[in-house]
Amino acid sequence: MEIRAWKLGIMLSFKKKIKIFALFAAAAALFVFLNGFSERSTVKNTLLAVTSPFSRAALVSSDFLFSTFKTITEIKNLSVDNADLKNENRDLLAELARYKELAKEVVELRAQLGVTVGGKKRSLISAEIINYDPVSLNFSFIINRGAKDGVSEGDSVIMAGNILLGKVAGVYDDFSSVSLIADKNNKVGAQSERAETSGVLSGSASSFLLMDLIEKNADIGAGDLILTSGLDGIYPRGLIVGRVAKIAENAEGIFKQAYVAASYAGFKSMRVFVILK
Amino acid sequence: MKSIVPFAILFLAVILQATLFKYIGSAGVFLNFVLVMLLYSVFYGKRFKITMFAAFLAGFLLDGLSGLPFGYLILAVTAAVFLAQALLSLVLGDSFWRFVFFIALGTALYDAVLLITLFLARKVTAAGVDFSAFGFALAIELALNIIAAFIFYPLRKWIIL
Repeated sequence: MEIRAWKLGIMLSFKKKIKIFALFAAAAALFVFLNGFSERSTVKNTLLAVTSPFSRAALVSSDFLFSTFKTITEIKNLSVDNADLKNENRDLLAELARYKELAKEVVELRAQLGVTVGGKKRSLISAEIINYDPVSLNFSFIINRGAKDGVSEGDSVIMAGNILLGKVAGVYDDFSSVSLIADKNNKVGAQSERAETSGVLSGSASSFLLMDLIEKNADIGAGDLILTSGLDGIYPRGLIVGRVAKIAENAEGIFKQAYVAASYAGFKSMRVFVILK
Repeated sequence: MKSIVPFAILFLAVILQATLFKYIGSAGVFLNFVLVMLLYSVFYGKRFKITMFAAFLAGFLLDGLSGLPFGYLILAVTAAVFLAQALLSLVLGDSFWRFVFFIALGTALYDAVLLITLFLARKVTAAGVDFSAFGFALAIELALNIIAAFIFYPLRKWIIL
């Protein structure tokens, strides 16, 4: 019988192997230790600068590959989807007309009352996703904007259509890492658009986001649109988070939970926007 | 020139793990291509030092592309590869099923080491660990890595490192 240890041609004793491992582990520990001394890792920034052209090319190719594959597999559903979209479009046009009327009314009323729109003016910069996190269950990605572009920790990141993706978790000179709202450590103050039922949203073990701390008798149901409430002091109010998929009632507790399907789910666009503080 | 090729392949593998393989997976869990490649090198390769260096380099590159603070992945990958090397003597022979078992063992080791590293670094708290979710994630990762083992097995004649 062949023994693998022998096949490896081990000339080094186990002791020596431990020494070699200890050397590498010490180098890794040094990197960990150095993190505490610099706010923005220069090593990481340099590494990202080297790898970004390659990862960008790989991301563009992967995106193309999977978009083509998806189009081919979904081609049979196109006529049904088209009919649904036409109906939805008709409803949205009617709604848009109503909103236009309301907007006009608001402008007129403001002019009469002499009220100006308050609140903080926020600026937006566009960024590109360079790569996703290579570690499973680490819901983050890297963008090509960093401290030099004015990005700071805690800035909200959205995609086209005011859809919330997450917040900036780490900033380097030219790059930043963005933590998605699917991350369990990311808490988002949220509320339903219809009844303004509020709760706190975070990642869950399932593919849905979990909206917790909803009052037991609050009015919320499947299909409700969930927006940011702005109460967490991180995310601006009114960003789209997702739609309620199902409600989880707990007979004993004083709160109930809602499982929310994130609006960004399945997004493949590489373009995102950072809302600067 | 020839010695650069394995490291160029490793570099490419890291890039693919942070881009292409993100599309292949479920619930935030995907194929750990780099780990499978390193375990393959441990199983069929013969050089301890170079495999450890490759593990260090892979951890270094993964750390660069990850949102985690620098250094944790270097520690996790090198420790997992070292432990896999140490446990290799338990896996006698080099048949296909032994290789699959070794990949599964290495994957479990890596996840355990990473969790412990993050726990020690206080990036994860005991209360914050959802063990059912962790078990579910490990099951998906195991399945994907074992599928990758099927692809790697026919390549055993060409040892990368």
